[in-house]
Amino acid sequence: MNLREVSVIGIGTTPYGLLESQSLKSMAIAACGEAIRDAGIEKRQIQAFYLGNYISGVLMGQETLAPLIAVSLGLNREISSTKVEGACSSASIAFRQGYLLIASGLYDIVLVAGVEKMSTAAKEKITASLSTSIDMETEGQTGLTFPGFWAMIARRHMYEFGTTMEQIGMVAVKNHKNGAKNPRARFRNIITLEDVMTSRLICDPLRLYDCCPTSDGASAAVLCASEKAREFTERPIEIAGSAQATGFPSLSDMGQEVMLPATVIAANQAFEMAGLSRNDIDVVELHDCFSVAEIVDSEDLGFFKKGKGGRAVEQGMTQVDGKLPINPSGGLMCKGHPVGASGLGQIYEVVRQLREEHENQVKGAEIGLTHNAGGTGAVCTVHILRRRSDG
Amino acid sequence: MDETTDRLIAVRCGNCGKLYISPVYVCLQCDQSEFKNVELTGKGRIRTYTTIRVPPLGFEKEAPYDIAVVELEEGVHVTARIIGKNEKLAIGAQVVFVKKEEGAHWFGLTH
Repeated sequence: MNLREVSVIGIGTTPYGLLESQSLKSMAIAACGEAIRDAGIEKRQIQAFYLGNYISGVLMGQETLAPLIAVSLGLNREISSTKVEGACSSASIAFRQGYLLIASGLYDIVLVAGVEKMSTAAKEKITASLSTSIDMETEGQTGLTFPGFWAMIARRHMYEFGTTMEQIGMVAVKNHKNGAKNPRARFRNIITLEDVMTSRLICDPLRLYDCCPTSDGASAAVLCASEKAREFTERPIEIAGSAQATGFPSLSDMGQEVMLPATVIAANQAFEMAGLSRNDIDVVELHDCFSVAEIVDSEDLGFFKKGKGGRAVEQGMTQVDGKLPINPSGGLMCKGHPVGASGLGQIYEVVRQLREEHENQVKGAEIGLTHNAGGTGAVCTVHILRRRSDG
Repeated sequence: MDETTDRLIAVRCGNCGKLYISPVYVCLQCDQSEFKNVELTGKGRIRTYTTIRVPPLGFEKEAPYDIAVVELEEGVHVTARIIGKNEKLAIGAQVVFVKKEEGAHWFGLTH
């Protein structure tokens, strides 16, 4: 099957954080409106709408979100509006669905978005809602949480490879340094390694600053067939690779506790599709839901050998001016993690990098990668974006 | 699932012999779906562990509590609660099965 080339022609987002006066609808509409204006299209030109959302059914008591938002936004009611869910990968899946519909030749212009509202709920309810992507027939019954899942991976990674809590904590320090410059980030403060290592224990050995903050937020993008993108924008960003793979819904079924196999599979597929190698990537936004996750992900994506991710952080390789800048936005850890929106939040940040208009600009960035690990790595997505060479 | 039992039951594929401790509907190794129950020794070692200090809804009164991935003698892994407040949790520590209650496996450290 011959796939058409697809480009991102518009992006929009709310800031991430405690948006107390904002609702699911108002946030999604703000992000979509900005993306539509940025693309320079008319709403009536949109031929399909895909929305990522993870826990609003459980947490907010609101389902059937996609038509709810499509109608409020004033989209053409002759088009399909569909919600997709894949835990923390939900928005990336929406992005991928839009990509597939255009690549297949069915449509020319698709709007994709992600939204989550978390700050109004009690902490225990949020923790329980997030835990619903752990297999509730097995591991979920033990009272395991996501910080607990990653804490057990951290412990095993340290045991097998000698990774240290200092190296793990340096991820949080770096991402706060980056997020401090990002006006869309929930936290704008710089922290020290001592701050991380003396913060309150959440799930041993992970502490408060090793965890991403729950947040409200929405992000959106307008996708367009590359052959028509020039009608709307001078700076389209092409989707060079799009992949999604399936992993295990419980830690005990993985047979090891130091990698997410679905990240490895999705990364290999995306690089093969793009015809690119790891060395070609200029900037990465990956799934740092916990500090240790950034280290594990960076290895699983193939940027560092398994077990060497901690040392790469320590050597400064992942800083904005390093060999491979990771999460110059501040990542989920500092920017915030509205779970059903974060995937498109990463796309937003990478598109700004490739347009060379980011607050933490990676000099000369032409090719970027985004990655989500949904749940226990049960749904992993990888996207590779590239500035058009004729741009 | 709701019953409490002190026997550690797993299932073995009737065709290829692969062992599962989680509920299984089709064998992932040979695609057959005939299984027979087998009782395991309950002896195992900790592969990794954590202490949950921020619990989900329904577990507030139990926190803090310990969870571990246990590798059983027979080779299968299970995520389980470790009974009590433990100061000697370590990777490689020996544990023994105690009970299965409301779908969760419980183990205890052997001293």
